[in-house]
Amino acid sequence: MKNVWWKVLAVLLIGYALSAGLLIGIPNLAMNSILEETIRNLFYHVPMWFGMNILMIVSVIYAIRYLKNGQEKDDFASVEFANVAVLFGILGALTGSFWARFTWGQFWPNDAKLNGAGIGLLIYLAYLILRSGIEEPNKRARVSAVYNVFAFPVFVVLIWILPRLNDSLHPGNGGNPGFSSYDIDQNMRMVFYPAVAGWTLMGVWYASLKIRLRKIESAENV
Amino acid sequence: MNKIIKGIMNACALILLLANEVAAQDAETSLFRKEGKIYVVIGIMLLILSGLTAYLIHIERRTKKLEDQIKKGRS
Repeated sequence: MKNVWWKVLAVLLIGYALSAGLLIGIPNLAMNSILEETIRNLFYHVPMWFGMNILMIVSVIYAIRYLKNGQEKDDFASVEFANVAVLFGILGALTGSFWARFTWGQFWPNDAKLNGAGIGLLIYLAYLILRSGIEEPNKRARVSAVYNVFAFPVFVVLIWILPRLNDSLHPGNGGNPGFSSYDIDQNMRMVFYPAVAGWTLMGVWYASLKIRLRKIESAENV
Repeated sequence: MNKIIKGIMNACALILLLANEVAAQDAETSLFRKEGKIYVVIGIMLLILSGLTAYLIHIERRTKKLEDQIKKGRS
């Protein structure tokens, strides 16, 4: 039962963020804008994307490790972290789409950030399909590790850089200030960052379980 | 063993506290009847979170069992 502390921490942080996210007061400025109470989605929708990014970084690190050492377990870790990252990304896209319908007026407004995220997710889905298309394990691991290393920077450009160079509906892009413009912030940050940490840890938990299952499967095949 | 007893005691204290909250009819004193009953919603969200977590732990135990079986088979 060692090494359970971070799993407990994950659940506590998420529990805290779920509750505090509904309880804390929100700035009047938000109430008077198109956001109103939906500014609370900052605690639920945005952590999906932040968590996804952190998990993708972990996936790339394992991909690089695999390319250096050629150890199967690094390949397992790389693909499973990418899997959870994609899951978080899909959840982020669905929740964002729902949010957009009631603030920006459409499920998928034509927006640099949304389209970038959409293409980015497709790049990662292609990664998962590419893997399933190669039979030979070593080749599969090597090709997908290289793909991963190239896909990540493209993804970063698509969702963090291009939207900032164009106009975007999203806060923090194209001269559009982040949520920091809604004064408060100190309060909201105290919920937002724990939410990101909690969901990221939960993602690590998911990934760790799937990595272990993969190891079991490969042990049985030998 | 001491830890387990302590944990049970804490759980009992929590349940008593909760029962007290539910029994209190006065809106001013009951947490679950204050603030437009938002705490009821939070309670339900936390119940779902703990259910999902319990399921995750269940899967983890299963995994551990399989790992142990494989280790046993090797030695």
